[in-house]
Amino acid sequence: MTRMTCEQLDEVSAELALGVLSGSERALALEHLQGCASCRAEVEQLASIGDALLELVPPAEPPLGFENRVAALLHERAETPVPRRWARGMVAVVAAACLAVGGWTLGAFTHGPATPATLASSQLVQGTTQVGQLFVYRGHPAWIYMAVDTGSGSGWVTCVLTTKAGTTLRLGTFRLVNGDGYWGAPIATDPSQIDGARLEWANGGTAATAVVHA
Amino acid sequence: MGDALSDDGLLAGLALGEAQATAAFIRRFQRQVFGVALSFVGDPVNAEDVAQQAFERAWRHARMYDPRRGSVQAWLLTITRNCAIDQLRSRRRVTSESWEVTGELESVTRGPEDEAVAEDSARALRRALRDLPAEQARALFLAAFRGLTSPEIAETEGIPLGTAKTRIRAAMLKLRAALPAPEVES
Ligand SMILES: [Zn+2]
Repeated sequence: MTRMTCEQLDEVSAELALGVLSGSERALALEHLQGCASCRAEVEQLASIGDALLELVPPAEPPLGFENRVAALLHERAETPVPRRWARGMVAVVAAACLAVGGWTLGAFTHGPATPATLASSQLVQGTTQVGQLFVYRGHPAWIYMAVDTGSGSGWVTCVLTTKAGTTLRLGTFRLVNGDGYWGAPIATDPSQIDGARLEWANGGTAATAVVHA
Repeated sequence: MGDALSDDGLLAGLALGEAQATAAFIRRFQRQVFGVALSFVGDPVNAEDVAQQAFERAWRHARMYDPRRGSVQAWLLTITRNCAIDQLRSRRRVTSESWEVTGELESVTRGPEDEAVAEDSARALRRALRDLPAEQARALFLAAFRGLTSPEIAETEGIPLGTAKTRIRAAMLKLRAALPAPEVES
């Protein structure tokens, strides 16, 4: 995979805006948007049309008891203690990282303090082949986001971060479907200390690695 | 009581875990959320799953809502779409089935009984959808309301991938051209 040009971004901007771009193309597109204000404006406009289209979908009556089931679910979630790093203040960040690209997510990704200085991107590779993109946001709070498409293999992978001090941090797991997936999470550790990341299959095999440059 | 609050007010109550506001929030938006979920995933059981996740994400991320970027409903429906696409990706549906689009496209473009009360932008968008060439409308419908990727659209429509991509893009550009210029963000 090589970097996307404005022309190539243009070709996939509508799909990105509608949330239907695959993992690898999405990663390249996001990387391009990070450094290109004019394409960003274009995609944001298209995303707002994609969002507006959803409001045209006819409403439908949910199954009986839906309201109570959702209320019960939220109540139950609120009772469950959340791990420290998922604490309240992190919500915007987690949302930015975990919701697929839409008008808002894109906004969270491309507005505010996420300048190239604080948002670093690295290639996820398999040997010498690029199979994805990893973003480390070195703000407060810090978070990572990645999109990967290794071409094959379905199952759960664990994201393991390594630090300059030589420690490892198992951050979380997500699913790859035919090698394709994306995921993000806040990081509790100092982001400037992270020097690498690795995606591990449940059986211990490595799906992809990344070197994070300071 | 919660039913008298504005959308933003209800969202604030939801973020705080306030029971009445939460119930009112769900009640106010559940039909729209369920409609979008059903459109994307196709069956009521999976749609309920998606709709529940959407409310959960909205609750978790309520503080990220930014009114400058659109209405609470638009925000919530975007979350719903993203939940639906996540679910579809994890179970990779069969795309060889043929998609009945015409009737459903009509239901999207028809709009409320009393078109006069609809917002100008929604009316313009419906009109623009109706004016699209049929093959562009189909491709856009499958992407925007069913969550199909361009390779899936190419497969189900029996067209080259490049053609699927071009149709989606051309349709979106036509919609944009037909809409009033968006307000410039401050
Ligand atoms: Zn560009």
